[in-house]
Amino acid sequence: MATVKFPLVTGFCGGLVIFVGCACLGGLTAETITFRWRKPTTFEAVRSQNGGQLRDDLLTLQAVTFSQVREDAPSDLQKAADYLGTLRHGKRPELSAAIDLQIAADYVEMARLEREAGNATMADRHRQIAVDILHSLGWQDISNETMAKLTRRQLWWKATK
Amino acid sequence: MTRSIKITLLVAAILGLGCGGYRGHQSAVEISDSLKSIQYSAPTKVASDFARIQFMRADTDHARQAVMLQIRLLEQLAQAGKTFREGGGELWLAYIRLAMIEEAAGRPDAEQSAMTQARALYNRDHPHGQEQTYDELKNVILRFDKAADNL
Repeated sequence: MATVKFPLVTGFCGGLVIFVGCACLGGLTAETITFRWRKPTTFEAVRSQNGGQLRDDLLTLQAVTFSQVREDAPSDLQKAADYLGTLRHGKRPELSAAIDLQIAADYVEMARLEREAGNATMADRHRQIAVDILHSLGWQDISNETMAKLTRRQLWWKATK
Repeated sequence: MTRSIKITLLVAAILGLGCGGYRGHQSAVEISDSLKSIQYSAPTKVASDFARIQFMRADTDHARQAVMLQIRLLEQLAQAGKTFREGGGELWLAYIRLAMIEEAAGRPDAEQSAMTQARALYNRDHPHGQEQTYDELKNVILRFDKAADNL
């Protein structure tokens, strides 16, 4: 058996390191398990309401919220728009219209970022996609000002993060 | 390594896992309770913003569709007992918007029906408040939208 020079110090220091390490590991594990078990943002309380339609609506609108807090980079915004594009399939027209408005907002923001980066062609392409979506949503005044207002609130939120 | 050190390390590991696990569990319970209480606010905010934006920018058909989405959502949440103060308070505003849309669309019966609902909900939310006229309630919406638009 190997001998330890300072058994008391070694025992104390080793014990302390192992205690802290295991406390962190146990904390993280317990937090993850408890969080998954309790499912706090999945609207379980209204699962059976209106044949599950209310919960489905809430989850869809929540996905729109998550999309609003994405990083302000063209690639992230494109991913968000693509995800929302897949999400809108099979939804009721009023719900897919709400998703479309967020997709339009993402394209308006992408156009702004591309223009700032000097990519005029991409900026025009994104702007045109946004215009087409807003037109399909019945917008009567599709100007640069009204489109910019669509993203202003999101930009303000991101700036305060 | 001596037997006593091995036992010390083992006890430290068990104690660490126990304490950390307890703290982690408590923290997750607190966070999930907070999230459960506010989880309905984000979707209703999206529906509310959608209704407001479409009311300001879109034609009457699309604006009606958006406002109806908000109204149905808030009413279904109320039926499920998940109404919170802000959500409940927004329902009368949504009905005034609907009345204004029906007015613009030239449907007086639908306008009157929406206005009656708005008044009933307003009186429920403001039991000690002064009776408001249609024009006063419309002005509330217009002022609110103007402020939100200029944020």
